[in-house]
Amino acid sequence: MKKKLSLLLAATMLVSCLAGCGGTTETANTSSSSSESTATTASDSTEAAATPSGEVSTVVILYPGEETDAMANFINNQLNPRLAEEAGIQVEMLYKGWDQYWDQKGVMLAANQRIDLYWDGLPDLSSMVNASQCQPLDDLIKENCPDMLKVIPESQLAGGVVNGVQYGIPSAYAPSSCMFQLVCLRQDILDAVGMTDVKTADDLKEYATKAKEQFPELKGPADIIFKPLTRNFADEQYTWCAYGDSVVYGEETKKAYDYFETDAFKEVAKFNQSMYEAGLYNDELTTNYNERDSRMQQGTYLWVEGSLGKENEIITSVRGNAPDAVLKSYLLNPTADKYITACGGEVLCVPYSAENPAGAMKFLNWIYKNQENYLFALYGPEGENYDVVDGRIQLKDPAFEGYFYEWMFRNANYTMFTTDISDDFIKTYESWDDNAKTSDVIAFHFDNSNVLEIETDCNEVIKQEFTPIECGYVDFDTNYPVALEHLKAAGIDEYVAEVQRQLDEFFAANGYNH
Amino acid sequence: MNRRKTKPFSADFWVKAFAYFLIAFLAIACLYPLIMVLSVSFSDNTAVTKYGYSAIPQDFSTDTYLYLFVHSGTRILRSYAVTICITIIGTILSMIITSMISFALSIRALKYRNQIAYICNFTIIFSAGLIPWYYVCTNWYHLTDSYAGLILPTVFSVWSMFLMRTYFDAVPQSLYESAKIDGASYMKIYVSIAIPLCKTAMLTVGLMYALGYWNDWWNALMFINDRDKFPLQYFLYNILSNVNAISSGRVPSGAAANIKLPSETVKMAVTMITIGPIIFLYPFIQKYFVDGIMTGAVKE
Repeated sequence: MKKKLSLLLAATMLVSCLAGCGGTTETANTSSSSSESTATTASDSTEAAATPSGEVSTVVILYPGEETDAMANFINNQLNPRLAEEAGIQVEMLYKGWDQYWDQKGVMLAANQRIDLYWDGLPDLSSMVNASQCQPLDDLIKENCPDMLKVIPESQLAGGVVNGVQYGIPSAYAPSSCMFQLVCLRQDILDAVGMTDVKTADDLKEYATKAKEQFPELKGPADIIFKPLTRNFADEQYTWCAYGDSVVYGEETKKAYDYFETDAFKEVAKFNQSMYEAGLYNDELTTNYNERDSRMQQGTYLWVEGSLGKENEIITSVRGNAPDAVLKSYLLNPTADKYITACGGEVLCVPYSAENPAGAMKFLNWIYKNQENYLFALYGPEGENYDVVDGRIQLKDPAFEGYFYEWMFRNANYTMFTTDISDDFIKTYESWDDNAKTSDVIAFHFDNSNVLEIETDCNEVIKQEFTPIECGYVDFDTNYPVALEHLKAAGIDEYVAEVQRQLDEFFAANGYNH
Repeated sequence: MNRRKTKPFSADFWVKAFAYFLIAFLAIACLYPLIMVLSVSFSDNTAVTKYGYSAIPQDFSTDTYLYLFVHSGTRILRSYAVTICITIIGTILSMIITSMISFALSIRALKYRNQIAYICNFTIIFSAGLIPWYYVCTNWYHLTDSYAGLILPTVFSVWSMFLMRTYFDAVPQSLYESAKIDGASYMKIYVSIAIPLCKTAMLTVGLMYALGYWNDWWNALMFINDRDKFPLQYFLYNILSNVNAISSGRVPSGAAANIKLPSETVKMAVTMITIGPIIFLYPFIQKYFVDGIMTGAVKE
């Protein structure tokens, strides 16, 4: 009798577990539901969000970072009243700290928590589509974003297209050629050591050597700058086109390569090794590679990798620790062609669990409607935290950080510089992409679902064996052959072949003649 | 009768000396990092950046603590209040639930008690995982942005239940039977006999629950969006989390440049604020543990 009862109890538990797995009509569809049913849900929501006049619908935005009192006050007392009046919406911000943002986003989307709009990195769009974390936006954009389309061109929007469907809006539209190929260095130290320009890797080595002699309290470079160094040593432009750093596309040879087998990589590794041997690199450049920006901001380091405008982004933090610091960015191998390799680095997406996707699009359309709205969203009303003086933003308090992140919503049509940005930089900025070529793979999104296991194995080898080689931390001649053997065993050739196959399909679909 | 003093062996002396030395060494090894943390929290940040950590504060300064409490305004005090309330209420609730179920399972007369214990055991070994748990808590129990979300998900621990059950099992059943003969209900037996006899278990499990609630930031991360409801640990976690975020390399360049990383002194001050109250409280509670353990140790 007891045994039967035990079995009955266990069976009851099992059944209740299985029953809990099923969805109900009240719960949103799970991510495993077909896209057709979710598209139906999306269109139903669109109709629901077209509220009768006078009613204001809520848009829930998942936002990285912490809430501040200033931001809360701005959203509740300034932004929402305007949005309600002009767009019939109000925003509700859901903040998640940077450390947990991606994990929390994954959990919340998997549990169908209500999120109407969220941000992520553009390179991850393909994996987000595979994970059903974003819904198609083609119709939503057409219906709700006429003003946004005037300032975000088709070429930029193409970065958010995967398999012919618009899944995200690449929101950071600004001059972007030579992304991550610039070296942002301490110009004041460069002047002090008697140098005037930096064009090659050898110039950098000379700069570091002289700085070490003259300023022994400084800690040398903050970063191994492998992308600027790759530009310096490569015969052609290499554009990274898959996950991580493993595969590059040669813009002139029109082929995909394993980056770690290129001559450029070997030169980068040997150069970095020579920097270590000369005592110019610290161990933390390898062991704490990702903290390069925070090292640079300490004010005791010489250079860091960056893109256009890097010096303006970090100068305030650097000067907090080194008040006399001056930063300037240099392009190694400046005579080589400049390439626009990505439609920015940010993407805004609407998940399937959104209850107000139309409202989310209306919010974006409102921001991009005109410069006044754009600056309002970023800095608040004119006259409160800033004034516009001769076409420049003069902050009333230099420590004011703004409201919505400028880097997330950057738009070259509306960008207005603050008064501390030099005229020289603005001139450079405005003409930065003038002679730049557009990369063949600018809108290419690699789908890794066929090679997930190989990718994981290769990334493990890259992390454990190639990163120390690349950083120059270990001897190249001894370690490279062994590491390469392991990478081959992990399946790098098949991975590169898959990238090439998808590239060929992409080129064929987009009318490229190679 | 004269007692002869036994001559101490020289070997005993050396063994004793070695034991004292080893224990002293371990004590210093445990204490030194704590002293270092305290010292850095009271040092000037520029000095720490230049010269590194030191056991003695460099350019003694309370600026870091002032920054934390002034910059945070009333928020840190509110977080303290939330944590204290959650700890007290959560511990009491957890103790009531855990002790009741443990007591019930220790009564041999309870029908199907083994089956109930089996079901509880099952949850230790098998778990549905993070997403189903989150789904149930938010979509079914609606714990988002509520104080209940800081208490209910961890209000009952099966491990603690089994620990308490072991103690309750050691109480002679004859005590319960004689109380029943005298007309006591099970509630009366639970309150008047079982609980007083298992003080050690109550204190041990109670401290475990209290520490769990005090140190918890996970529930706040999962369920709380309203800053007014942040417990202390989550509030402080947010201050430090940017460090991990930057280290991960996932933060975009534009954002990374604007993320304010806490200075070394802030990290240490946050650590002191977190563990300080527990360090002060523990010595006062410890003697009750010792008494409780010693009470059960002598068997004559």
